[in-house]
Amino acid sequence: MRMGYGLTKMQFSSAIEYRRDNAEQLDRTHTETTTWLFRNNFKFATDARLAPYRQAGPLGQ
Amino acid sequence: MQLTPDWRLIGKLDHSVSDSSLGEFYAGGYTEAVVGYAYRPVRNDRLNALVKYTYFYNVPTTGQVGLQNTAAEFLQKSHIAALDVNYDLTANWSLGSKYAYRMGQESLDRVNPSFFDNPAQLAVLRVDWRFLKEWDGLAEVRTLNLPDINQRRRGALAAIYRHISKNLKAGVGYNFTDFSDDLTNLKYNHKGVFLNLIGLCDGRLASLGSGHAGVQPLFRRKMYWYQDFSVHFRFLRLLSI
Repeated sequence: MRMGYGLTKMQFSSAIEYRRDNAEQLDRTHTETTTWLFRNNFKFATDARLAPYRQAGPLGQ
Repeated sequence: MQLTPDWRLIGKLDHSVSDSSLGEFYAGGYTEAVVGYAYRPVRNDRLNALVKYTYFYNVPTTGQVGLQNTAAEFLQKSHIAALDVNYDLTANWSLGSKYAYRMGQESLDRVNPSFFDNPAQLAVLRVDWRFLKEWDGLAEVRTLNLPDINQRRRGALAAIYRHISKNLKAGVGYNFTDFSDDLTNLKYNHKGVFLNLIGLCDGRLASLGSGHAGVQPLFRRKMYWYQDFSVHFRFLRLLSI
């Protein structure tokens, strides 16, 4: 699930991912793996007219 | 700390946990927290600077684990501080520099982690050249200093970009060094040809900021490229899959 919110001077976005794996092994037993991933981004500028900065990094590769 | 119109604050927090029914040995974890403070003077758009702090913690999953409880990738705990500065000398020439310091610890044992220090310093000097109407070129010299193992790596990088549209440019380059300028990346397999795709997102932010879709005059002064999204391909990696 992803969601974002933008105000005049502020942006926020967030994402949650859930994954559950059930894998059968060679001996026919099952192993379960549960993974949660949370992603959050935030930007704030006092002057809304400002273009965002030109990101100086990462430089090249 | 007071924010002025010249400044911009950015943040990122990625966190992941992975549990297995087989026990902790098969679990994994990942945390990356970034706080950045960007400086772009309103009255002098030649100068751009970014100060960034990164906390990085990575426990590789068992899919990346070798024999005897050792990980194919290091377990890593790092604090990284970085300073990037860009200055436009003329309309077609820019100079850039980057300095980063990693206060890092690594471990190969995931069951009983025994962390050892692995600090690093990175310095990059860069020149950008905008030639013709839709072409950009860049060249960098880089050095990576690893004091704990008395090692210093040096090299260069060059790339050329073509503007595909107003908001997109694509480029190809060659990295003569084997290290990344991302100090969370501990691998030394970065030498070779790479492709890069960079998107421009000023229109989106302009409409958010001004409350209407029109672009403010400030945006028209100059076209800026951001790495809000950037896709990297390295041929060496593609070939090894």
